[in-house]
Amino acid sequence: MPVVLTSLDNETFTVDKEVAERSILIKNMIEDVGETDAPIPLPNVSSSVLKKVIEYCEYHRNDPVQVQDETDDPRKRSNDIEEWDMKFMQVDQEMLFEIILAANYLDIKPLLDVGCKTVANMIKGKTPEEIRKLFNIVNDFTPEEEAQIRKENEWAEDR
Amino acid sequence: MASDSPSPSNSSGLAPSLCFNADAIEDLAPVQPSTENLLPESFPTLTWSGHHSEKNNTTKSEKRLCYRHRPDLRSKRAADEIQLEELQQPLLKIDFLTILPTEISLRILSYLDATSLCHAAQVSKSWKRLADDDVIWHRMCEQHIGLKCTKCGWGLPLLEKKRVRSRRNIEQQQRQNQSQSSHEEDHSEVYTNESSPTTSYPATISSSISYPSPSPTLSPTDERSSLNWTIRRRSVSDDSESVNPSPKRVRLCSRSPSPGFEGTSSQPAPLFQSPEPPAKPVRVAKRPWKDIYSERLIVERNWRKRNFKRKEFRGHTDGVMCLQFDDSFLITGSYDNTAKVWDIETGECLRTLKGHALCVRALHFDEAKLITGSMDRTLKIWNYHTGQCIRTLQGHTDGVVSLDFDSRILASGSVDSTIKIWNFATGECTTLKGHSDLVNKVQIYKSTMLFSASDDTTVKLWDIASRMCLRTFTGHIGRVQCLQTSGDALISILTNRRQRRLTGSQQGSGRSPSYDGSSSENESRTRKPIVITGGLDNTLRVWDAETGECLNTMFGHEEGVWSLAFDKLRIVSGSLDKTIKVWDTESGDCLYTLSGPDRPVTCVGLGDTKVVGGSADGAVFVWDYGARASA
Repeated sequence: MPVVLTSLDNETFTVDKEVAERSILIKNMIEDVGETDAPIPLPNVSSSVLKKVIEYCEYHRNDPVQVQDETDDPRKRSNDIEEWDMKFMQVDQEMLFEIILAANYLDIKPLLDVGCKTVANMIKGKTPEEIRKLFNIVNDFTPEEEAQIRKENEWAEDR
Repeated sequence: MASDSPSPSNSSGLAPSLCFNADAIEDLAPVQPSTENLLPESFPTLTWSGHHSEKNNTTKSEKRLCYRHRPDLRSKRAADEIQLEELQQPLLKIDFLTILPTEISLRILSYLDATSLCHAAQVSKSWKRLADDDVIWHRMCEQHIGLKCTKCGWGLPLLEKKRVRSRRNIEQQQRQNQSQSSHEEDHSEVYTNESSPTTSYPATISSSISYPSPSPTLSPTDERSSLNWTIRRRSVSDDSESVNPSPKRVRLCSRSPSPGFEGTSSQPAPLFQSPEPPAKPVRVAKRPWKDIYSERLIVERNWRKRNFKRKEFRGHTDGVMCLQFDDSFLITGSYDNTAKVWDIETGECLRTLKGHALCVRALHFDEAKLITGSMDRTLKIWNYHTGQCIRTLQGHTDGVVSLDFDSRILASGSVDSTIKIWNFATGECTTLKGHSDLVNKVQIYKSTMLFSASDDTTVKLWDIASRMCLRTFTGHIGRVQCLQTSGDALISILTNRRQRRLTGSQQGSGRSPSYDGSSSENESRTRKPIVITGGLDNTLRVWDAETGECLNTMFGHEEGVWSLAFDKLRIVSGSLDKTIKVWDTESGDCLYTLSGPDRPVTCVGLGDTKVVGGSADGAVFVWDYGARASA
């Protein structure tokens, strides 16, 4: 039976239970409350983000439930992102940020992983200055500190 | 109910993550109290907007976050710096790591490689805090040290160098009769196997042994006490056992002396008392994991770039036939009938052990004792810390050319085609018969089994207790000269190599093969217990130790392979063709060739930072890849 979700801005979304239960938070709530027609309020998620999250859950509705160990063991985690997920994640930084937070709040581990990988891939291979530019971060090191830290991390440069 | 369901982190001050900056959080919370009890406290509001910054120092909030990137709000100076390319990018930029909950930030960082992490640490103060996090680097170490990372193809050496220091300290302390408590402290810095995901192997430094009840010749001299340092520090359990005669020893006394036992004691006695497993000292890694990682990465780079320091140890007057080394000592055996103990760092010859009447062909040592096997048909047990010969074992009817021991038993292979198993505790000796020619190499496998390599071109796996040959490995078309097993460890091996070789060679990229760990779709990695052999047919062969299947044959040497050693990352092999080759354990590709000796290489050893080769002209070469080589 369908589940009704209400976003922060009071927009309601009706989705299949199977889709909604990709969120462990919602799954637990449904288990606790029992079947009900009452909409489930998600006061932390705006409608634009919730729409996006539901799109993800719809696409992945039949995925096998991830085994906890796989995601928590970094040796088994791969940095690869599926093609569909990659496209799904082609959003601006604000939306990416909100998807990560929503995935964390709603407890949708695979989505959280994809979000984290996407950010990691943005960082990867960039110089510190490029990273600052990308995320608009101000360098708050003094020149002395900066020189010191560069020296500390020099070993990582493969020359 | 739902309020205790999984929620975003409240583990840090950064948890309420949508506010402008960390300082604003406290102000924000009362403004936006949770109205729903479904709402975890740590997840406040999406109602960020510019006005919060009013409360704070404006420049500070802009600096920290610039959550909404509005050029018009920026200072004039900053606005001037805006580049064209910057304007073309989406306006909104978010400092993800700083404003996300710490656990999510760390999760993001856990997907980064070492170089990216080091770049991230240079971005800003808050990034540095996160990117230097010990948990992140611990994971990096887990992923790479002592094994090859399947993601990046890099594996880093275990580097047990710290143990050297602690061990040397122990010896010093022991001399000074210092208290045991300070010794325990020495272990605190050791990168341990408890915290490491892998086991170190070959596990040459095994448990300590205690010596048999004092025989007439062994008076408690100073030397003796220094010999027994390993015993003393772990002596509690050992002592308690020797106070109450164990059933073993009672039984032993009623037994006639074992054949070929030429001890100095007047009554039948064990070769050695069966030791208790060493008490595990409390070890805590105190160094930051990032340091540990960087130290090992530097060494691994040296390996890959052939950045080594070559040292030559001269002293033997005839060909060197066998060697073993650890962090402190190198011991070599030679045709000049002696074994020499060297300081592996300085190259100083500490001691020359004389006693064998003919060539020393085999040796093995642990923390307390050295056992040598000689063409004079005997084995000798030495205290190599003093140079004293403790026992001579007779029994073989021809020269002893190979040996191995663990805490319980000693195995020896001989020109007489047999293998003898000597029990340290009982002095008992049994014989394994099956090879039709000289037994070049023996290695105890998983305590209860034994691998042997023979001039009859076969390799055999034996069950020691039943003395049965469990399996014969055939494939070599020449004498099998050397062998090493992976012991309890599983080794990652690429299979289906043939397809790759064919396609790979046609691509002809001039790069050195397979350090990048790239694999074609035909290949698959399996983790297996393996045994690697080398023979006079010029090849090395990798076998599945359990099934006997030959997984790989490695060609490259132009003459017979006399000796080999391997760990999870590398194989080294020494050959009559005067070279040592370094191979990638996983792929079996030859990485490069070390030359130096002008005579055949008769024996090789491999450590985390070193390759040691002994030559038929008596020279010993050490290739040191330790960090100092790069300095």
